[in-house]
Amino acid sequence: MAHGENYLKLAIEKVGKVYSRKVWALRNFSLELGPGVLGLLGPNGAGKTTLMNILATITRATEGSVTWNGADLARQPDAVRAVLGYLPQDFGVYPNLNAVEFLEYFAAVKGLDAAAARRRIEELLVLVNLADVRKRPLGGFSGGMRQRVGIAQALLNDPQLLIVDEPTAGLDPEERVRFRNLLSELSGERIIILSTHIVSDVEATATDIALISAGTLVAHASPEELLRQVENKVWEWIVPSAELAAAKQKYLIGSTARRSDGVHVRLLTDAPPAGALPALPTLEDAYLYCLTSHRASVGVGAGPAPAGASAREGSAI
Amino acid sequence: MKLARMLYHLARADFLERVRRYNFLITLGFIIYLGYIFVPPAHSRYATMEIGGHRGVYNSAYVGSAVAMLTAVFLSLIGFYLVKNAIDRDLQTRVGQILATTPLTKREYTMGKALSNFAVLAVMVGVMFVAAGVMQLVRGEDMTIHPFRLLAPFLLIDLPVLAVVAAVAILFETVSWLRRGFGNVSYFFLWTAALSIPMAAHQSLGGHPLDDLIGSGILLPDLIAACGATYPGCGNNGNISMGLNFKEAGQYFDLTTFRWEGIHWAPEIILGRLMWLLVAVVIAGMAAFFFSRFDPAREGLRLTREQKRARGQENVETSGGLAAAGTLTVSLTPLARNAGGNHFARLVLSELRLMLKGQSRWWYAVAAGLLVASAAIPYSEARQALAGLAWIWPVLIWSQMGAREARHATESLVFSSERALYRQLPAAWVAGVVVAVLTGGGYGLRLLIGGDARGFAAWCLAALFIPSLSLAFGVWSGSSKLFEVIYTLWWYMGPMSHAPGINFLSSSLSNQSLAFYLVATTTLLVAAFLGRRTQLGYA
Repeated sequence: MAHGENYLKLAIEKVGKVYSRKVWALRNFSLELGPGVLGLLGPNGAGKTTLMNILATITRATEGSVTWNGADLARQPDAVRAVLGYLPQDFGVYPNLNAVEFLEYFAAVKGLDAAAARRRIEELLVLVNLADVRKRPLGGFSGGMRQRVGIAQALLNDPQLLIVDEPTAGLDPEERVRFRNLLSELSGERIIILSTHIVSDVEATATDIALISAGTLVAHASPEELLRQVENKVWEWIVPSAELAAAKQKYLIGSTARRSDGVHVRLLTDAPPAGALPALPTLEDAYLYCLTSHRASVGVGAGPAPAGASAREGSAI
Repeated sequence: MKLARMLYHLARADFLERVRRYNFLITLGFIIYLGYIFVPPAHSRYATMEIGGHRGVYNSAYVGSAVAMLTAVFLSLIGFYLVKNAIDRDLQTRVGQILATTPLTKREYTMGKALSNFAVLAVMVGVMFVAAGVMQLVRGEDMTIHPFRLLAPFLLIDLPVLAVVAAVAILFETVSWLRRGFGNVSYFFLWTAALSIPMAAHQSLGGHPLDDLIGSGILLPDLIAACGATYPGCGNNGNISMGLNFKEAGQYFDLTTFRWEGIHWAPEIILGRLMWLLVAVVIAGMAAFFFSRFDPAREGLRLTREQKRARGQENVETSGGLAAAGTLTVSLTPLARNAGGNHFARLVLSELRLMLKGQSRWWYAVAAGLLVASAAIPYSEARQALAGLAWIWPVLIWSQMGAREARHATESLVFSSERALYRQLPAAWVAGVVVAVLTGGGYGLRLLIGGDARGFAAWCLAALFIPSLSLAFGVWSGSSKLFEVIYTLWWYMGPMSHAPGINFLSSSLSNQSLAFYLVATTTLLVAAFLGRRTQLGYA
């Protein structure tokens, strides 16, 4: 899958996007990306889709700049469109076309050579396992099948920049695993941006993670670096059901599970209660820890912050 | 009581959702503008109501009645298209699926939606009433406002008409084959028929009230009688016109006036008008019979045979999703990047396929029949009529241009493609021109062979103009509706009714008209380009 270009760089510099009534969906967002898979994680409404839309040249940033290998997207959007594969969160299909015709249409829109496009479409239909239904109108496809058509569409032009926004929405658990594998296989000499709020999707594929909350970059780090942040901070503690409410008031709790001996609680804290046992941190713990710390540092949201957590707003860990 | 509350809240939520949209303000602005032009000044190039060269003095009764009748005529057409999206909105927003799980019955739903449609149209009538009052004072021929005389025609002429329109809009939304383009075009002809019945028999007072939806049979005979009392013989020869009638440049309407104090709204007249409200209720109730209640299985009834076959096979397709996880090997052939490559012709073919895909064999058979007949028929008038039909036949294909991306939610896919503005948009336009040439080519060829240079020039310009109109309207409105309505109206008045200037199939178009089509085509293309440019976000 090598492309000949030795160097790919997507630079996002102090980007902001304001919608009507002065609502900032994104503010002062900076990030520099090279080949690999970036997992863009954040809660609903964090600004992920806005960022995706800016990077995919669907909408313009209100302030700041985005450059692709030095070309400013505001002035030369086609510089990135030529090498862009984009799978939006919500997209439609033309119901009267079949999968081949739909992909042929987009191959023509993207300006691909006819013979190369035909070969590519055949390969992609095999890859997304739609070869058997290639001649059926898309109007009769299920949500998962449409999503797979979308994936094939995004890969049509062998993109150097692949942006996938909530790609596993609508896929069943088995398909999700397969899509993650596909992303890992594709991440060679290209930049892949995977936006999601499903931590396990990122865990499986990302070489880098950007945490975003309320339109700002909370953290940008490798999964290992993020996990190191919560080393010796994750504990498992068994509390009687009656004391759970009090525990929630006092500690940052990742998860709970009711067992016969009480409620097994996963705590994120520097100062564990007596009887708590150390647990192996997961990326979900790190995600929760970073977001909660960030919210505590900017004074947003309720609930206890993890003791000893430090603010890392807009900076790399 | 519970039912009333349910209907009220259903209609209220829908009403608020509509009137809080920015374009509702624009619509009200347009209504105010209509109110202004419906009451022309004494010395004007146009007239809206003329009875044998006369009109009433602008007092409350005359202004109220004239504006209310014109409102009934115009709003019964425009209003239908403005409100015919109540159920579709619930489908698009998926609120419908939630409503479908509540105890709300189908009849309550269609009634509630019709009520909401009616409320929206009633607001417009209210605005028009205020505009009429203001215009009476602005024209200053009679400064005394009689509230009831001014208001009564709006209440008793307009509201019943619009109640029916509101219910018919719901009915059209529930009947699968009337829901989209075909319904939009069909309504136009229904509206024409509804107008022509009372207009033809405006002097036959005493007819059944259900013959006269627009209510002109109630007011016009009394108006003619008042005119006749001042100017004997007024209106006897049927020389009555209602609508926007323009004089040539430099000529003016100088209508002489008579006094008219309005009609006595007798109980039987009021009862006759209220009967239309009953008709509206019956139509809205009837819509419940066709309403699918957002049931995907019943939505399936609307699929083409091909789609049904595909859906039937969908359950069989359960094997795997993406290529099997354990055996996944990505073996995609890398693509050579050819930045300078121009595949415009292939893109045009793709756009053409997108336009024509899904049409039945019958559609092609009729199109081919019209193509051949419009070339072969020896009688020029019949040939022109067939050529006209050949260019209304693809109206639903053209109307998708520029709006297809919004309708199928593929904007993000198309707009993020390289040179979408400079390649995809022109390709869509060229495909539209190809459709015009393919469907109307028989007549064009005949003009060419017959040496009718002017006729052929008009035909060529029309073949460019129609897709340009469609593309610009589609891009700017994001819907196929605007083009379907305006083009059908244009086609009806032009090629079908031979109105001078707008009959684009005429062999006697003046140089001025030819120049108009050329300028209009260019303007529309520029508008489409600018509109799409705005949509792209990036230049």
